[in-house]
Amino acid sequence: MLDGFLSTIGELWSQSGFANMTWQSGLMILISFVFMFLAIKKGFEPLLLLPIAFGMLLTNLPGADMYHPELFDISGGKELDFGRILHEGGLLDLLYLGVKLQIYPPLIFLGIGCMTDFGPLIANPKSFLLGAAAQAGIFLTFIGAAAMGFTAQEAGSIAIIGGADGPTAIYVSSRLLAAGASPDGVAFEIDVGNIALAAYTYMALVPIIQPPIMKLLTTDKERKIVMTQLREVSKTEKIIFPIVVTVVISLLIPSAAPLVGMLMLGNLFKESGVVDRLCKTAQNELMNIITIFLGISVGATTTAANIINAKFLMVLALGVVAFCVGTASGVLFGKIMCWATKGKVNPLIGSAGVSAVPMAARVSQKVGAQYNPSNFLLMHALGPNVAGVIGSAVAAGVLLSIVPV
Amino acid sequence: MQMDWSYVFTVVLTGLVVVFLGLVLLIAAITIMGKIFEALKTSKKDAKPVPAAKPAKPTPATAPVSSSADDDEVIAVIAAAVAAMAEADGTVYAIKSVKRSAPRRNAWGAAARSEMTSSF
Repeated sequence: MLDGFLSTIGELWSQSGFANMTWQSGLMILISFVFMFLAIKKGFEPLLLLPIAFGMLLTNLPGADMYHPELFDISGGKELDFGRILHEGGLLDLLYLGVKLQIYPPLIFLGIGCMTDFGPLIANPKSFLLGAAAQAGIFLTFIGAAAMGFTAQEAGSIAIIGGADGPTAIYVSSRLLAAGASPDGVAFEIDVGNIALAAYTYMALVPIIQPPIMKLLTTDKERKIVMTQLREVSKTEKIIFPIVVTVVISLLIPSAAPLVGMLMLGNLFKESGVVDRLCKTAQNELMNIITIFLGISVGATTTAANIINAKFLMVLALGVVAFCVGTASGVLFGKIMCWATKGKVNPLIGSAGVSAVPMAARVSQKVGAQYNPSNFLLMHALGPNVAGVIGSAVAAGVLLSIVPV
Repeated sequence: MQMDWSYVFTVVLTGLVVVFLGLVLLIAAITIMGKIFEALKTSKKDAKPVPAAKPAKPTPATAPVSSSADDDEVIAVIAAAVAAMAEADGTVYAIKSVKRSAPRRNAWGAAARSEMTSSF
């Protein structure tokens, strides 16, 4: 009886996660703890970082088998077998389909549209230029990724991190990396999980990354510039705005239509005032559900094999470069606008051009208030900030149009 | 496999130009829209008959002369506040005119904004 008992215990031990723990899994579990700490204690993008961190924990627990990367393996020209995923897949595999099929990002954009006030941008349309300038980080990082030997599809996926927009980064990378290999047959060494993790990490670090760059590139006098109050925008203008943006952008870059279209649909819900129920659902329940699904499934893709490798370190390095270059481009363009308007534009609002709504605008406000406590740049910074959302969606559309899949 | 550099620079140049072009088109569209609405607003204002200025009501302090068509009640409140202050320090004040300060950046507004944004 004792032998039976001991052999059963031995068997249980050999099946347990403790016995199957590798140093890679252990390290990933520790990283997930760090992310949880950052989300809970430091408040870094907790809505996304917490589910991502927990997804990371679940996927790296040896033996739990909650996510099966092999179901999504399309290397060597294999097709995605949806029947197999539905039969053999678990919860996280099914949730991951929303990422793989680019369903979550446009739905998140719908919710963002419902929550966004484009009033500051309509009142000062020149803010669009700052939103465009900050996208330089995306395209300049493409050069860096090419120099490091990434394929065009991988380089495009890494570069989009510079847009500081998580859903856009997921949308672009899941489209560009969908085939598993480039048209020349070179297998991809990174995946959507790598991109999403880097993008959300840097988005959470916006208040830490941006201020030094903003201070470095501006003078004390420029930081103290008080901008004139924005004009009032009528309700009719706010209703027409999403329709105009959808038509103009979708005609110019059709591949940007899913993101821009859903963003503007959400905004039309909000501004029309006739579909209050839909607006509330899109910005609350739907947005929260998608955020949970997106966070946990992205976290689930961060297996030790995907993360602990040199390529992911390169993604992280290029991601931070993309982010810094985007911030710097926005601030430098802000300086040009400051010079062109004879000191009417505070260059600090330029850094808000890198999406990350409303965090980047808050950073502009905070840095401005450090030098002139009575200066309220928040509303002025929200213009380039929401322009950055449109700008990064346009940049995403451009990448999807010109990079072959 | 190293990408062809001419392709890399084509992607970068095309990307930057198209993003700027798209957003400049939006600037043009939104500016035109703004101008149309401003013009409509101005023409509506011009079309409205200008109401005759109401004489200011006498108040405990003095008879204030409003420079705009401000609400009589607001003027009465201001006059009452001045009268209360005059009573306290024993000085007599005369309110010659009541004007709205040019920028709407008043102390209360600034205090409210400061409180709302201090957490950022």
